[in-house]
Amino acid sequence: MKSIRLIIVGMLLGYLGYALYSGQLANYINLRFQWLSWVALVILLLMLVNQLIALVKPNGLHVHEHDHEHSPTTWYMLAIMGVPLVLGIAIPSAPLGAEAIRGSVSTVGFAPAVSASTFNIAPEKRNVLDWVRVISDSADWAEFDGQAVDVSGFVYREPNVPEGQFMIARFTMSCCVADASALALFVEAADAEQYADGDWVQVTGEMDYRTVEENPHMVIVASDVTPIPVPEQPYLYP
Amino acid sequence: MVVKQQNKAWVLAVGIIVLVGLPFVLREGYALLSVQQPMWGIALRTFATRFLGIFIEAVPFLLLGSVVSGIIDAFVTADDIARLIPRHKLGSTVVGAFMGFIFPVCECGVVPVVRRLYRKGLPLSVGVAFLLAAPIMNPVVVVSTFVAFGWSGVFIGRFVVSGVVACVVGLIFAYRSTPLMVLSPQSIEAFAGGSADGHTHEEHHHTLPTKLMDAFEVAISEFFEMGFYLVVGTLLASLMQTFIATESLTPIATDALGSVLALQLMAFVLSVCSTVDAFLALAFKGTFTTGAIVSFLSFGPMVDIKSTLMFLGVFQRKVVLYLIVLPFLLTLWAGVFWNLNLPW
Repeated sequence: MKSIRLIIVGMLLGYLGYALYSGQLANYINLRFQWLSWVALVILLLMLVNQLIALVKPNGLHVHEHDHEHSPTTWYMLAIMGVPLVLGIAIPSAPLGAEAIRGSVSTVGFAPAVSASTFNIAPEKRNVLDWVRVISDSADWAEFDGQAVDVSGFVYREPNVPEGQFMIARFTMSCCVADASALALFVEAADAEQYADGDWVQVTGEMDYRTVEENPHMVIVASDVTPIPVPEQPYLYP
Repeated sequence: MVVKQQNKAWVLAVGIIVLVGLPFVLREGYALLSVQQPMWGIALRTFATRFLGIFIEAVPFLLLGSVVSGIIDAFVTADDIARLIPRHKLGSTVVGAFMGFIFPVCECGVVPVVRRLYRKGLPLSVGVAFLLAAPIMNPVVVVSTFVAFGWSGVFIGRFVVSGVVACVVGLIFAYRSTPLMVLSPQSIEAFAGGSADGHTHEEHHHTLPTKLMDAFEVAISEFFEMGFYLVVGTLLASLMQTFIATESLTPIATDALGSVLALQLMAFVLSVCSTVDAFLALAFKGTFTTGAIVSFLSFGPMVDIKSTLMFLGVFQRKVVLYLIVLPFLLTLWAGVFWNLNLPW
């Protein structure tokens, strides 16, 4: 049991180290909390050293009955602790994408907290989150009409999306993917049908304010849609 | 002896190859699956991302909690703790509820510590308040809850509700019972002066390196024991997020009473360690009411399947029932009150 425990500690160390080194960590948590993974790495390393010493000189370890109530490590604990390793290694790492939205996407009209600094960002520098914030917070959407847009995200379509349109979406997260939620803007593009759900694209064009069935509506009229690779930081941090 | 050593080395070598190789073999399997059943491949990948998100965010706290627990086990004696607690009922009960900030034991570490303290003559109410509050009132939990929820109603509510509940339950015991009425025979024996416990930590011949080795040995056992509950809880939470449509949970998740009951039940069954349960709660945010999340985070660390089993070793059955029912009702009330009266 102890040697299997040793192997699992070693593999967790290796997996976490690789996730940090390769940047895959960005697929899972807000990088603001990357330091926590370093803490974990150090503790796992100390545990590994401890277990190796115990393995090499069993007598050096003063093993006795502890008051601390442990059930000894059992095979099912070991098996369960292997699950994160299997999921981490067997399935290629990927950020949440279009298939994870499952209908719950927010677009302009809901009101996330907006900070004054968001308004100072030049229109063409705004990302999907910035756009959703400024538009939602504005009393007069017409002020954005004709502003230049340059945003990146993945393609997503609601079931009733009109022809020639798709949504450009991003997930935002504060802590980790457990609290990730999707935000999106509407895009109108001549070649909209070329892009499948989940494809990462960069969209440039201009904001268009219009009324659809008497409701105000904002659509990016794309002058150019370019496929891009999945960015290193796939999520936006509010 | 030599043969035995050699066998051991073989087992280790084969074990390493099989264990390390297994995930990589499964990787090929996954590649095959996503070619033949692309929908399943994508669903599985989303599930893996959601699972690993919670696990990676939680695991540092689980490790920290385990190490702190190991260090307390190796370096702190029950005498040290008993010395710090005042002996009068009201003040000491409140002190008991906040003791976790000095001795950050988790919910599994706390039960044996409390039993040892009772043997040193700790007042009953203080032990109960400490038992219920310590898993929440401790620095590791403060940081992990803050990382998950930031400066929010849930963050404040968790500590206020559990502090109040622990003090109230402690005081009920202070004025309603004597040690003989509530402790299990095993713990009372010690009240009469004898130590049922062969081992004490006052063996001064222990050197610092040995104690550190001991501390880490305890930490690893604890990491695997607690990790089991974390992984099972995370599996359930990420399965729910990936495969259950939010709308199908809405009737219960938005009900002021039903949502609280549902998450209390979830907390009891999942038995996830208090250092990391905030990240599971995050998966319920937005679907379930805020009051339900506060109850989940307050009730879960006090009472769950795992701690119930441990309580039975310290207290009489009837008392264990009180220790479950009182926190249950008080956190239920707090959660429902929150849902009906507070705007967040």
